[in-house]
Amino acid sequence: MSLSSSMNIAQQALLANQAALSTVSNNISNINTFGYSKQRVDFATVTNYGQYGSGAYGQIGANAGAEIGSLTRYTNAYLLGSYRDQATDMSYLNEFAQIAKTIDGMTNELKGTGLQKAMEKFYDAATAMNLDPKDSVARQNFLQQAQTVVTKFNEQAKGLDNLRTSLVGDVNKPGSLEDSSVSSTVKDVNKKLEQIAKINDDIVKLSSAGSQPLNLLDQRDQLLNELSGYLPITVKDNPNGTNSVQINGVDVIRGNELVGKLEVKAGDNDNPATINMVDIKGNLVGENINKFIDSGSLGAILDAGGTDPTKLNPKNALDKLNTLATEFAKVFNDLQTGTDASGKTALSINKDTMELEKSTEVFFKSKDGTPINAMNLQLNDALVKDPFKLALARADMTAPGYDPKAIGGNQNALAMIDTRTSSYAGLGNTTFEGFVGKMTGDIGTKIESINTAGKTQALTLTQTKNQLASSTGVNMDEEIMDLTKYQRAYEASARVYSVCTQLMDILVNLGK
Amino acid sequence: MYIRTTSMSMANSIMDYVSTGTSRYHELMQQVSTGKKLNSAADNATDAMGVLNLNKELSQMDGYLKSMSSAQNELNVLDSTLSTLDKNLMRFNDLTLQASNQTYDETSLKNIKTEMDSILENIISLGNTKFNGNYIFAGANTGTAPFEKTATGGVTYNGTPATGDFERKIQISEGVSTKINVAGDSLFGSYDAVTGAGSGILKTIFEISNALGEAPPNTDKARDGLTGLDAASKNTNFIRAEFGGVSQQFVMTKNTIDNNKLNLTAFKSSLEDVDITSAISDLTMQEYVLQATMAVASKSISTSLLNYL
Repeated sequence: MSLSSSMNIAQQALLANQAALSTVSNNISNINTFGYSKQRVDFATVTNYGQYGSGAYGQIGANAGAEIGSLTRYTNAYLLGSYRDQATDMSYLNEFAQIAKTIDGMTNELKGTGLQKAMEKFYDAATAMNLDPKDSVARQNFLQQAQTVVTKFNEQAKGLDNLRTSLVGDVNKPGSLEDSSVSSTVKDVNKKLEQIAKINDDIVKLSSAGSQPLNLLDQRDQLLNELSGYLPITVKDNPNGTNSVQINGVDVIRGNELVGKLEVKAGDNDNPATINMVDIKGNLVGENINKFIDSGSLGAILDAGGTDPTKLNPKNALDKLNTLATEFAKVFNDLQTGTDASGKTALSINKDTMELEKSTEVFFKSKDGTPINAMNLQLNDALVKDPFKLALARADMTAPGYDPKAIGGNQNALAMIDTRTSSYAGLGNTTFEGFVGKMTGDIGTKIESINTAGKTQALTLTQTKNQLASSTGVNMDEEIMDLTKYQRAYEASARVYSVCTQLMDILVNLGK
Repeated sequence: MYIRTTSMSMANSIMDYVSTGTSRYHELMQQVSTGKKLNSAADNATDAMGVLNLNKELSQMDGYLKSMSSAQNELNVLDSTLSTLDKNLMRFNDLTLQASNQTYDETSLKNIKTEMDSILENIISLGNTKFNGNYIFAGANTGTAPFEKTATGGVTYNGTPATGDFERKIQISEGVSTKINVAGDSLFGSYDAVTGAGSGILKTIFEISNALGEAPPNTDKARDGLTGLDAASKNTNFIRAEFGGVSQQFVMTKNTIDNNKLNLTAFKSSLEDVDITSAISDLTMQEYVLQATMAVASKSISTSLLNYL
């Protein structure tokens, strides 16, 4: 025990408090950094070991002041884990809500520009035409409205198909998979995996016995949070500060080593994109893990690109639209050229003789020769060129009294109007417009439930995020208190040092 | 025990409160300004389906109303034509009675025949009455004049029978369609001057007129025609009554549809329109909430130990 030891203690205290102040300074400057965890200095007493006399003097002699024992990072593994899980679900719902919004925009029937409105006008025109079947203007108008219906079918089908292609590609369109969301998302996932493995490697290199580069841990946690937005992951902490990441129970990162990644391969019509797990050399580890990626934005993309009828997806909506288009075209084609059970034949007007003749031109055609669907539906051009080819009369041509001059006959026009109220087995026993309503309702219900789930999830996530920010973030008042505390301690230590110096002066003067 | 809060969590919370409040405020503002609470099926799928169904029904009803109002015009023309026809037949009847009195000399009978012939022309032109460019007595052959005088002095019927395949019908409500035309041949008939074959009014009046044209005028034969005239007049009035009934049916159906339309429109409005009163009071309420949130936020943000140390 000596005066110089007191000076040493004071000097050490100055250094320690200075270091503590720098931590406070770092905390305050990172107050708005998302993902930053508050760092706290923990002071510890220093003990001298050795002989310093006996009794109380010896005890005092053993006191060697204070030092910074450790630097702690405020972290909460449990909260972080549940935050990640929730973030995965949230990002699933967010992504899905985006896709749903697009589908909703395409199929919105309430804005007065939808399929139902087009059909409404189509039937209005049919009613007007029924009053004067030989009027070419009324026929023209009816055909124009039919064209609008066709255009609506085409537009919606193309929109839904393009949406699906942009999500998961189309097996029939080369290159579409590479440009799809699923490919770019998988690329992002792989990039994040690389970055995380790299940071884990840095952590190993920079770690010295028991202490770790805290800022790197923060950065890695942040990357893990981002990764969890793409797909569900399991994170396991390793003793050396690194961690392992599993996708579907298989390691993709083992400490500082990247051991696996995802790849996208073309699948079939129902699931155009297949996600495989491969090792770092590209050897297949897990084939088609699509169904395990049930959350995160990647999960949402896969679900929306799939065919599950319980989930909202463009394929499902497109299939229904196709069913409707096929039935609609079939019904009108049958009316336009058919002969019914009682031998009555659809009759159009020969525009040269202005007499009835057997109708031969169909109403709707397919653009590409394949069976008619919403995408290839087309109005028969022959009708547009000559509206008199539209069959509005219907009669038995072989019956006595049949008169080809009966161009005012409207039996077939009436039958066309009647289709509005007929239910069709192919449409689940609903009318055309009823089917549109059901389609809209189905999409609406699904979007509604996604939005509701999204709202609930957002609330939960906000709470967890706040909890996380509360327990790991920086509190200004706390820092100010610490600042004052360390400032006072620094001032006091400096005072002790200066007192010691004065005493030293006295001692030196004593010898004179 | 206290729960640690941090500047960031506080800021996050405040941002949350304010943006939740703002988005709700915005939503209400949109509702008030558009007057609609249903902008997409996702807002309320059940109501949206209801609205679509109602749209369809309302448009169908409009179609029925349009059809009926146009058909009503045609029926009005038909009615006035039939009424004129009846008057013509009555005058023809009077002339026939006069002629068969046997008190007129040949010159007078010739005059009577001249008037009869002009009535005959009238009746033929009534048979060729058009509505909106369509011959109303031509069955389904609406583009051609149904009654045409032949070179031999008769009249042929060019129209189609107004039965079966060639009835012209309109839809007046779901699944119900009504015939709106009367076949020219069943009323006017036709007459072949060479063979004397024919039917209906035309045969009757042609025969009477031709009898008076004989030399000397055959007044007995003309008198025989009176029964036919009587039947023709009855038939005309019968058809008038029949289509009068159709008009009545239109009026009643129209009333029902108007009534239904009113109810359905009100129902549709309740599904898709905003109750402005409650929306505005909600909006005002939300405005207060938002203001309060912001006031509290500004207070809590500015509170810091820094101000006191």
